[in-house]
Amino acid sequence: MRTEPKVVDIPELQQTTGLEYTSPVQAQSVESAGLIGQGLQRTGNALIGLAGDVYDVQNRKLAARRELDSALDNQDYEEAGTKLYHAIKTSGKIPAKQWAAEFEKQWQPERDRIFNSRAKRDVLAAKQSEVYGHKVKNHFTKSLMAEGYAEDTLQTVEGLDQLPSRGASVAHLDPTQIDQQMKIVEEAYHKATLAGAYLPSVELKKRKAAFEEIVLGGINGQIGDGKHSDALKTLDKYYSFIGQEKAQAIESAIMSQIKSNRAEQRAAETHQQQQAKHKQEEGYDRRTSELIVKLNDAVTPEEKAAVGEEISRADVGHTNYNYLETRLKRAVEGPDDFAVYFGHIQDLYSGSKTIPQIRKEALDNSLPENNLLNKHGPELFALLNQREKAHKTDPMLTREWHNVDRRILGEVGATVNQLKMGLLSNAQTIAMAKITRQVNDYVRKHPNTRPEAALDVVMHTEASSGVTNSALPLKPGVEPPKAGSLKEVEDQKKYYLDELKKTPQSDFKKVGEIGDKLKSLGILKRELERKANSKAGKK
Amino acid sequence: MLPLILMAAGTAISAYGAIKSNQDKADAEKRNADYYAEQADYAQQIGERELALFGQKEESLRSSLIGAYAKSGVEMTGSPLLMLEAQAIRGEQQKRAMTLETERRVRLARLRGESSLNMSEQYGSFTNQFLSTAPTILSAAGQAYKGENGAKSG
Repeated sequence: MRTEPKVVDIPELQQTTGLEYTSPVQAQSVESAGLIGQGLQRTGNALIGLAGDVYDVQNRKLAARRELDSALDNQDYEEAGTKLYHAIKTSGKIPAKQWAAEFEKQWQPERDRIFNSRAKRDVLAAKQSEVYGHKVKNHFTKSLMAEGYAEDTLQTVEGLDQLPSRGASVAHLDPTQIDQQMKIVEEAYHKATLAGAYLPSVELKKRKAAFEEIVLGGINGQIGDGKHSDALKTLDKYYSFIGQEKAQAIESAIMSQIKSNRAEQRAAETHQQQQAKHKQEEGYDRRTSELIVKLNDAVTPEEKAAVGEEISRADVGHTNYNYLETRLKRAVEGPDDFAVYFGHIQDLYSGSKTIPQIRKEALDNSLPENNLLNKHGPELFALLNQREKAHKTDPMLTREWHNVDRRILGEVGATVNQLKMGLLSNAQTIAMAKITRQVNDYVRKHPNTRPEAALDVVMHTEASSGVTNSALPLKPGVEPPKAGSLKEVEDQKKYYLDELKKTPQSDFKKVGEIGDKLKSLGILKRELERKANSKAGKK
Repeated sequence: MLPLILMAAGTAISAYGAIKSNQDKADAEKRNADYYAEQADYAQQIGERELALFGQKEESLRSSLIGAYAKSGVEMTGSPLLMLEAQAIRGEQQKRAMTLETERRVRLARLRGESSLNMSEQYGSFTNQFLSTAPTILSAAGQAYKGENGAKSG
């Protein structure tokens, strides 16, 4: 048997130590340590920001009030009205009421003058148009009944704020609510106007324009999405608001688009039918592929029969069905058993199964009588037996091969006995192998040399080159030198080295003896040195 | 008056927060430095223990292999011997690798410890504290100046 060397690896060792490279104390996250401080910092910064905002609000109010005062000082009441409107928007209701009252008081004489001239104009206009005149009269009466200018203005501003702003979607608008809001605003506007204030009119116009833009944008969007009927509904809802002229133009545009779209729709329907046909064919192909995969995976007759059943029910089109039928026939009757047969051989060669296992599997599977495994069974088993024999006659383990090494390394083998006892260190083993290799090389180069002589030569070469073979144990039978002083050992070593130089290399026996002496002297010398060093250390 | 009070309170809290954050970070880095020092010692101990265990295991493996050879009558020559040599060489290489790995772990832990200590000093330094609080104070002063000036001119 040939044994592969095994090397112990690190993970295995860590398991044996039961220790891991961790500690009960964990490293601290520096970021998390500073979190409380950072939180405080953020809180402080937020307070600073808040203080800045308070400053801003205070300053805006002051500025609005200053602008209003400035306009009033200049008796520019229209400008003052606009400033008041902005002051109300900026500063909120609380100061606005007070400011508006102040404004009204200061403006009273001027307002009366405007009111009188405006009332005259309105009465004139009422004469020209009965309906308009009725409206004006109504508002005129209401305005007389109005309690105060400031309330009207505030109501107007609130109404304006309820109107949808730019960017709103028409889909989310409630027409009833919007109409109501518009009425409130217009009413307030008229009240304010008749009371002599022109102020919110510009803003109201802006809001109306924005709302119209939203509605028209919504209608365009619906037309773009092809929802023409929805677009017509939206148009109906806001017909009066958009105005007849504009609404009619939009309506005719929608109608002409509907006509042209009908032709496109017919073409699209034909295209869709073709697409559906393609899709059906793709489905056929996908299903066919699935069935082929299943068929390939089916090994036993039962599995194949199940797939056959599935094929018979499959809706895959005429051509694909014929193809599947052919494949099924080939799978049931055809050469698929070859796969089983060769599969067994592969398993056996790879060593994943043994012969008895394969035999048992063949019986368990109850393969049909006419299958190829049964037909070729004897043939297969003969092949398997042959392989088994081959395992037993591994050429690496033949006696002949073994003898070759033994002859060459016979002498070394004596010292290897110590190896068997497990007494040698790694370094000694390596040294041993090194010597063995050198002996092998020497014998190969000098075929007539006896192995023991080759060993001697190698030992001599090592010794004379100054390399100590301390790792190599002494040959059995070689006496270690007697203990003496360090100087005596060195003298002996010098003597043997001189002897070695004088001795011819062909005299293997003598060279070998000297080599042994030198080696044992080397060991002794190191031992003495070690003792001397330990004594010196103690002192 | 209210904004000024808010501003002063905010500045004080923010500055204290910056100082506390730095101090906490410095403390954390100091603890980390201690932790890495402990890790270095620990790595050294584990390395030595692993090496010793490896030596025992490897010796045991080799002895059992030799024993198996002896028991089955295989001569300790030729290929068996060379194979034993190969294993011995690999064993020595493994020991060397383990020693180097231990040294690397210890060195890494020490380097981390030094780095943490350095960071701890940096966090706690006067310069860092000053640089952390100065922007807050300057920003608050700017806001206050802007607010007061706006009220006068606006």
